[in-house]
Amino acid sequence: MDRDQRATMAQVREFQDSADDVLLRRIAEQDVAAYEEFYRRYAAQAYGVIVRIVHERAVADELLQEVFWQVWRSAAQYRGGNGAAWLMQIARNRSLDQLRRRQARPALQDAPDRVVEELAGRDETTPDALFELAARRAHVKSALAQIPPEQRVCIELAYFEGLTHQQIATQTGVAAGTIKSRLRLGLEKLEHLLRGQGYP
Amino acid sequence: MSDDLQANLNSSEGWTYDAVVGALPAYVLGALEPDEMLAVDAFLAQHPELQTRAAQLTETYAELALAADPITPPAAVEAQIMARAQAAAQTAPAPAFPPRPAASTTPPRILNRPPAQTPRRLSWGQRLRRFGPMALAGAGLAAVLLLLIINRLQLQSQAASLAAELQDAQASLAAAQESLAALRVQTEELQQLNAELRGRLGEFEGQMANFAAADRVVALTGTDDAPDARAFFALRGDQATLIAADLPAIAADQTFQLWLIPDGNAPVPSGLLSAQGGGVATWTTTVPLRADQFNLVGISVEPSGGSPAPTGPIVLLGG
Repeated sequence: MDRDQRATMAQVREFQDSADDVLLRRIAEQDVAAYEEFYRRYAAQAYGVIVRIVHERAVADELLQEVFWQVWRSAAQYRGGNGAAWLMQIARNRSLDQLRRRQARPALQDAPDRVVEELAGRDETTPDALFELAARRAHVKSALAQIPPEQRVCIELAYFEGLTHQQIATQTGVAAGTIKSRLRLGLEKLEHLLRGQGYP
Repeated sequence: MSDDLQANLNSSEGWTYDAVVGALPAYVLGALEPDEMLAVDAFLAQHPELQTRAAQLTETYAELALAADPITPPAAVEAQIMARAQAAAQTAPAPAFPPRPAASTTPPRILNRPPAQTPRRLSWGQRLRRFGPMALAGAGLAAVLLLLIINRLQLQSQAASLAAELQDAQASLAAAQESLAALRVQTEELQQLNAELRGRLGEFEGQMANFAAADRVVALTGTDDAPDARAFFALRGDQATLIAADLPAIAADQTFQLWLIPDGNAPVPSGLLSAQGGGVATWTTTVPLRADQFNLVGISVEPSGGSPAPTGPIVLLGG
């Protein structure tokens, strides 16, 4: 480990308890250590979102690089609030853009790995940050589990596949009016459940 | 555009306020048709409060990303991402040593000579015959002297520069030796920290595996006796994993006790949880009921050794 690496690692340790807002402010100032910590916190989740949307690891690799490059360049435009949500929005938008460009969707190549893989071999992961993310993940999964399956499917197709009402109707063979109603009810319930757990 | 949304159209102005409010969740997810998206866009531009609502929904629904299972990106991708940032962050690197001064281009100063007596004016032919050989020899000598002087000045300049570089290098070497000693100490500390983190990570990994493959996950929230406490309970077979944060402080002769509460039946004691309160604590324990045999999960404060039925305050509850 050379001096630069050691200094970076020391800074990374310094950042491990920092809020996302602090990290993103430092990233806007071109602070690589803050960038590394932000990557450690959320890269696996962002990569999971990208793989879920584009279904292809090679494409996901490129997209993850694009997403984090956008974080590096656009951190100054982040207006505070929820850094993870901001990142996931970038990841989703980029992935859906890529999906629409390709038009024809390839067959599923890689099934998403288990959550355990996130932890394997990562020495620097901070348990507190991981706990926070795992707790939020459990909240979301718990909320989705409480939504009727026919509504949940609509939400997932809209969020992860970027489909419109009409496209969901075509894909599922259900009337567009019904799909619209299911999506609205499902999203309202999801919002209610997440709010009940303290989300904005 | 769908029929019911169409029905909400105002004949002259486009969408009604209520129709846009109702369509906002789908708009935020991009699930409206393109013409509907444009119509809502135009409506929002005139209603800042709806923009605020849309931003709020965007943030809430961004949590849906967490429904995707996390996947560790390849190390090569991480390396490329970091290398790109490093390269971008790198400003023009300062030289390790002061730049070597360029070889002097100032011509050497030549001492003024005393003014010679004005010679008698001679013709060019006379001048050539009389002074030609001498002038040639003198000019040659002057040129040689000039070259020697220039060469000497250049060497002096280079020597001074090298001496400065040597001095800097010696200072850098001393600093590097000091840093090396400090680095060794720090490396040992890091190794110890690494071993400790690996141990904690292994433990945590097992618990997360239970969460990932759980038959049932229950979020527990703090009761009035411990409003800040929160926890997650995951059950896989008869193995329960519990992650709790900000539990209240308890006395040395007390313990936390886990209860599984079947619908309409008495709470079933399901294990003792040793903790001192505060921070994040985790446990894995074997419980007597399966995922479909209880309705609620609770944690109470009990005397050391536990109780057959809850006697102390219930601090966490969920179902």
